[in-house]
Amino acid sequence: MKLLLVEDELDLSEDVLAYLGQEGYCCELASTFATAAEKIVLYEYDCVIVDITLPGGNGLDLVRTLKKFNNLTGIVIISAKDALSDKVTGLQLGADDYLTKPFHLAELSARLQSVLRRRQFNGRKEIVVRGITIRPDENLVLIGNQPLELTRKEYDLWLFFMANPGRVLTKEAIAEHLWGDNMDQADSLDIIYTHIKNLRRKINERGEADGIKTIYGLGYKFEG
Amino acid sequence: MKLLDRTLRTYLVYSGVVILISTPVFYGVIEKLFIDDVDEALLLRKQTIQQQLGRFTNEQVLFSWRDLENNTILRPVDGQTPAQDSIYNAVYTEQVAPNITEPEPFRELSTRLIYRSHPVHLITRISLVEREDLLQAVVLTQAGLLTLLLVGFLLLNRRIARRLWKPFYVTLGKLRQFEVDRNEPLHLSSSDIVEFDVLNQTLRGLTSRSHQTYLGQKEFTEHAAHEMQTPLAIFQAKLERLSQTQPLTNEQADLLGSLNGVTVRLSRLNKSLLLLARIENHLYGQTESVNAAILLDYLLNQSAESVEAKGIGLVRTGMKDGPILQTNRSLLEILLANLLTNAIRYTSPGGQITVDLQPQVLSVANTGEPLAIPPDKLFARFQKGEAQTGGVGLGLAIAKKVADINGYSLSYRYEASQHLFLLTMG
Repeated sequence: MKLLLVEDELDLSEDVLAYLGQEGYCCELASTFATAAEKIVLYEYDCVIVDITLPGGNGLDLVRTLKKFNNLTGIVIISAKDALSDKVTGLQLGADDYLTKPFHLAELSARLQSVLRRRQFNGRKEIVVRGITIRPDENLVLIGNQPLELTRKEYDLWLFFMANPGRVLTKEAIAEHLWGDNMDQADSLDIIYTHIKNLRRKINERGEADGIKTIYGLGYKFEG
Repeated sequence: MKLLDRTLRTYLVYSGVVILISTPVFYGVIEKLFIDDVDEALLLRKQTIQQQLGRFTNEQVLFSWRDLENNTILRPVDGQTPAQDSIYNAVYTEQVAPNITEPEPFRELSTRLIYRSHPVHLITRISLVEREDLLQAVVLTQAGLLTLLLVGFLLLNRRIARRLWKPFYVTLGKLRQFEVDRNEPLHLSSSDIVEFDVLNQTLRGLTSRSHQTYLGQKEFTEHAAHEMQTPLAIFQAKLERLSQTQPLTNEQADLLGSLNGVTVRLSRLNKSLLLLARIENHLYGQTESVNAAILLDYLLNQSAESVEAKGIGLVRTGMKDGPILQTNRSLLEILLANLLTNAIRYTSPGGQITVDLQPQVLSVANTGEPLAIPPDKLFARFQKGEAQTGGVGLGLAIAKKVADINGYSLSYRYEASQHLFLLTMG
């Protein structure tokens, strides 16, 4: 998978590149509007992660160019602007997702996977890990060809783990992934704990190892 | 008391005093003039009679002629005859109609005339009844004129004053409606009166300065919050990468965990500040039809997990569909979500939340102890109840702001051991 990150904050781009690099993506960087505009015309990417405020131009213009040249490329906008109008415009222009800074790298990774899945495989892709199959387009989890009954939140949680194998997912990242900003931190920790406990129980009952490890004080880790 | 009334009252009092004093004085003056006139007429009559006395043949005829001019008597001189002209007031009974007599005032001249070298006594009088009528008429006319003058003066003055002060009242009205957080500046039209123009100019300067200051502050908040997003993003990303490093001791993981919590808190605080600034900047203009009941139930469904986890009872009553509101969906969602989050946050386990939706009013009630902060501070920024509840202290301020810009009213009261928030829509 070939990605392009368009981001002028070098500190942030370094983190994103490092995180996504470990996931096995081949990720390039464009730190100005001009280089980004050149790269998206010259090369083909599976997905472009684009910041809106860039030196030399507006990231939304890059989205427009991308849509004109290559409709298959997935687009995820990352912006410090929490402006609703930007979000709406971005999505209307054809961006696949919109993330507001600050965001969790794990969240970016999950969104990216979801975009790539939709773009590249029309959603028809199975993810198979440890004998557990996920069909994201059907919201279905199978163990040994038998569906596993999961609640919506358990399913989202499992998919989130799958998108970030081998990574420590902080409780905060999980809470924001599941509920956004609306849940109190204190409340969410208990609920996450309950969900993970149920998820593990359901998987274990079917004779599979869940691979979820508790990292003391920090969060959870899924060993893919 | 209004300015116009105050000036008018002074004028009114003055005019009243003038009328009260002038009417009797006028009466007196007119009466004096009239009496003088009558006296002159009496003396003239005396001369006329003196000249004509020669025509009488003898005293017998003279005295038998009683009534020269209805009210004139000639008689021989006696003890009552004055030496000189004497004019005085007298009252005689007059036959005004058959069987009705009335005392009537007269002016009487009693004097001596010379008839063939003998003095004779002349008494002649003029009725003063006419004087009464005349005086009455004169005084009435005068009083009427004065009153007319006064009323006209009052009306005229009021009208002129109203026209004169109109720019002032216009300015006052506009000033009263002026809100520093509104985007439109104060429009004050110029008048042809220098003082008002100066006033308007001063006010324009004053309001525009305070508006600028306000805008500057608002912009600062927005910019500051905005500028913090990027470092926060970098901080959070680094923290996340740090969490991935190996090996991680329990102590390090614990510290990182705390840092994560604080970062999320900081990030939420910043987002809330940014949101508040953006709402104040009226950056959410687009409105659409929103079904309040459906949005409410969607949000209740979202928070069902927290409610359940905390062991709180939730009762939803009232409308299940509608009302349809013309508003910005995202803002309304934020408003409702903040009210619900607040209720969940401040309800102790075992407590109850009651959400009722009526066509005009949404009420969110939750059981709990009375407020630790004054109720009027409840919607202020950074006013939090008990510590360590996880909120950043902006939720209700944002809710209030959203209600305000929608023209809704959001109020709070404590009733029957419940915190009750009432959102009155439309």
